[in-house]
Amino acid sequence: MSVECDVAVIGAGHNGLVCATYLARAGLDVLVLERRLEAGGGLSTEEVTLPGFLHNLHSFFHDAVAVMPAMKELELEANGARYVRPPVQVGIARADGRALVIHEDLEATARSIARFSERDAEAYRKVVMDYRDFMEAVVLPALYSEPPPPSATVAPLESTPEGMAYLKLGRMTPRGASEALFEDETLQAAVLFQLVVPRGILPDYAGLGMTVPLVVTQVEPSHVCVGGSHALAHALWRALLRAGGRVRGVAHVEQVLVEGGRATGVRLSGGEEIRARRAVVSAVDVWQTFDLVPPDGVPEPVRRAVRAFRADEFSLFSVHLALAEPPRFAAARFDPDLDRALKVAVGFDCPRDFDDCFGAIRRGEIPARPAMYVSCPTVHDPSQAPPGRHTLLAWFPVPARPGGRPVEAWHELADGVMASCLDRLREAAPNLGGDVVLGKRALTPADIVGKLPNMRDGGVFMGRSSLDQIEAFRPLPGYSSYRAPVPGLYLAGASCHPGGGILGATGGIAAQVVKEDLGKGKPR
Amino acid sequence: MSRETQRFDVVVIGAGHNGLTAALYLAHAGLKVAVLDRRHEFGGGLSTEEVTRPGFLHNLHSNFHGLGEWLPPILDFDLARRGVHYFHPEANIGMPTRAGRALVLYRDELKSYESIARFSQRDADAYADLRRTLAENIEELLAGAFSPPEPTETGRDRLREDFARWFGAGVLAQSPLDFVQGRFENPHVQALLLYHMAIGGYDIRLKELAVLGIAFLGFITNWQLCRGGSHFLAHALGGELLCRGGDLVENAHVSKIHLERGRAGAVETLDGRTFVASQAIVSTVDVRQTFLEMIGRQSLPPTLADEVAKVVYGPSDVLFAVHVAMREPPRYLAARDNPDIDRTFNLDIGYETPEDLIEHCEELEAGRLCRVPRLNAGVNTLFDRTQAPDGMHTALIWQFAPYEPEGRPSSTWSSIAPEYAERCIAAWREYAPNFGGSNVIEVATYTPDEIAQKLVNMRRGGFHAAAVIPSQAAHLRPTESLSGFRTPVPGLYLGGACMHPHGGITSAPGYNCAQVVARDLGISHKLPFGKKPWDKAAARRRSR
Repeated sequence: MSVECDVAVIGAGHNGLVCATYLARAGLDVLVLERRLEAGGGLSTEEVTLPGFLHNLHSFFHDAVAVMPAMKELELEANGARYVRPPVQVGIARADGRALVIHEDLEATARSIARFSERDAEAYRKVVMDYRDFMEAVVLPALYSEPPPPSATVAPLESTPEGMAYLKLGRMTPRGASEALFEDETLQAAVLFQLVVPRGILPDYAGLGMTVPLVVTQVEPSHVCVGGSHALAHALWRALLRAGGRVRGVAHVEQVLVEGGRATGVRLSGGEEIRARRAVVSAVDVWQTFDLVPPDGVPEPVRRAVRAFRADEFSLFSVHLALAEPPRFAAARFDPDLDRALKVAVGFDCPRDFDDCFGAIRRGEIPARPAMYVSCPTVHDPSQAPPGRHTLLAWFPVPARPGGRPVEAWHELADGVMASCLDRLREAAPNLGGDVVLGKRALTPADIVGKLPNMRDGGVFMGRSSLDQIEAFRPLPGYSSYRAPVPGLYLAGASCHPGGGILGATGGIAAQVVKEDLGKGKPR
Repeated sequence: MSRETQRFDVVVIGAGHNGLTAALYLAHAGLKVAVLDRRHEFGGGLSTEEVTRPGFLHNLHSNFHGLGEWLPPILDFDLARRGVHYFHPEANIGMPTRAGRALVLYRDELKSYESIARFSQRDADAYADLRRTLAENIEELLAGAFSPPEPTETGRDRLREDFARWFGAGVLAQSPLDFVQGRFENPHVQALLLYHMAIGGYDIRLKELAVLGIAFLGFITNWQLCRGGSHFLAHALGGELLCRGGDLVENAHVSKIHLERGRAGAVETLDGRTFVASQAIVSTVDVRQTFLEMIGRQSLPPTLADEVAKVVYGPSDVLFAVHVAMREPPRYLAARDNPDIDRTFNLDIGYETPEDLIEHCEELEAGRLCRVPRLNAGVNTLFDRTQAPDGMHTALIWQFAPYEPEGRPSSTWSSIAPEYAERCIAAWREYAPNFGGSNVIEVATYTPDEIAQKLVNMRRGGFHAAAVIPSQAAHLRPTESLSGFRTPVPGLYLGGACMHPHGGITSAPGYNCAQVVARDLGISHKLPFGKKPWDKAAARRRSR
């Protein structure tokens, strides 16, 4: 038996759904194939502790809501995606009882910074003033278009002093840039904290210093998806179906069919073949994608380059709690707004804490003291828990292979690591003890890999965001145009520019490329 | 939060499979329909989650689908196009015994006959007789389930009239137990037939319940498994609804049904959104929520409020579940007697005689945990490889259990569940020694307390959303004045599991409700009737 469509899309993560919806709206008959039962990939919300307590297993805040073209163009709001934008975005809950808080309101942020350093409060304002327009006019749009050649991003900047200053920041590491701009270690930590997640950029990545002003200008404030992140998956699903597209769950693509040197369809495990008359789009990671293509379909040098594409350096250990009340941080006595912050850093007080955490991870060790991203989304969206109740998520960066053991070893380590995370949490928020914790559940890198094989080595960004693997170098030099070396096969997953996170970017750009190739219209 | 107002012809409360079914038919008839659900995920009891380990799919509610591919929305809307596929295992229902024997019933009637004959020749003949009668009248049985019950004033109950004709007038007063013990002699055969009725949520001891129980025996070897997990069907129903112009709104917890000059005209959600329904509101949630919580006693005729308050819940449809991720499927000692038991779908583990079932009913009635856990069990991955990672398996244990164990609050379940799960697994191990040790990768429990919290419709944990007892069946379900799917509140209809025929994945309450709504709106001719296997029977019935 053979099913036919114009375009087969592999993977119903948000990029696959965005891509498919654009193509369906262009009049193509699109079929999305997803190996899991549930669509959405990292947009996953499950009641893993107690009934009625919604926990976001992967993405828990979305940065691109206000800037993502798909949001408007695909009418995702009308299709059921609703968002709240927390006025307090980030908090550093220091072990010494002090807290630095980043607000949406620049003046409020400056007041918080001034309690640590008057000079930095001014410096922070200056970075925002200097760079906000540039970020909005140049950097954000670049996230939603094909990456230009390397020289094209540099050339327009080298003629002005401001441009040269920006290029200079760009030659530094994020840590170097944050130290060059700010003197206070807590503020430096607050900046670096926002780069690790959701961007996958570690403080010592060479040549990525320009990401510091991106974070500081806050052109992409974090939003909380009402009803949990999976609500966005449902909205995308509705948009796709209403555009005439189809999704099939439990459809595991085993092979991309190549005939006469062209991708012509896919074969599912179980043998069913799906014919794709116009194109096959892979919205899964680049490693899997090329494993799906028959060996003679891709030149060996490309295969070698794919093998050399490096996975993320760290994975995440998550603790999900069902709570009778929200966390009350000890450091909120210093700044009460800390309790309203969407993302709270516990254990990342200064840049050295990042060294300790990621140094251990690079040695394959579980960091001795958990350092965590802590969030209580129900403060912002009460619908994620029964009335009056709350949920909490703590993300602890860890190595995928603890002590060099296979990722499955995490199943045995989970309880112990969760206990130490809870101890650390209680130090930061002493009310999280006794009867307040109604339910708890740990999810480990083994769970990430098991659920979403796309997240290789438990890395949630589908490929390291180091300088050699971004923009025109993502996933491979010469193949950053979303076209695979096999004609008719396209790449739309987070292994392409601009990378992981809920940006709705890769799928959108890939759709434009496919449309262009099929004569369905020029890009926007 | 938002104060937005949206307008529809019909608003359906509850996106379980009945809500989706009702909405789908009404959307097909041209109405602008929205289905609201308080949960973040639609599908109600069509729920599949990876509660043990990633890649292991577990059906948290419905697992054994007694109608399978015969579901009217699957046929009428050709949901196979959306990938819906059912496995219909040949060895369909069975029981291993402690003595190492295995009684298996098959899709193939001849094989069932031979299987029973190894236990009792007389019972094999009796079973063949019974099945013949039911098979000849299966269309009548289905047509009865898929139409609203005869109103009381006609004084007729066609199902009971038919049964009196087929089995003698005495059958009407009988309990399932009376009927089975009167016709079958072998205790194992008796127990397997009774087990099948018990997992339908019937108390086998109840007088006047034999008719429903026997009707259920018409489907004893029809148990089917939804490929990819039960939730797959929810996706297909929801997807079809969207493509027919309907809307599906999750995270929409209906807190109020607004009456305007006595007529139900809009609903309001907990977060302040209003959904106006110009033609009808269909509630597919239980009657207590619908009338006492969403409308409120003060706005109802006092007799209706009292009637609703008297609806009985449980205990025969309340389940405790153990979900197991495992390396290899159970291998039964009884496979030496009949190897097919290793590949039997719906398993009775431990109810070997009617006395086992009676003891169980008594324990439930008294609110006690079972002294000896006996299981309703299955291993889906024997038939559907997509439900676990390569080469691995899942196992499901259902165990009838009291909502308030030993008279203590239902929240007690969280502390007793792990140990009770161990006892359930040990009970299975007695029959299949490889069920344990390193073969078991992970275990997750799902308690009656969790059921009632997750799907509040399943009040006190019962999957019928109102007990199936003679005083709440047919034209009395859920109460006499509500059994016609209309309610005394103009514009408000009922279409959930608390309605005729009852819970389970039949889609019948939603289907019946859509018929009644369509009739009232004068658009019956727009419903897609005509494809169902029992259509002929329905036509004959109409001409009588």
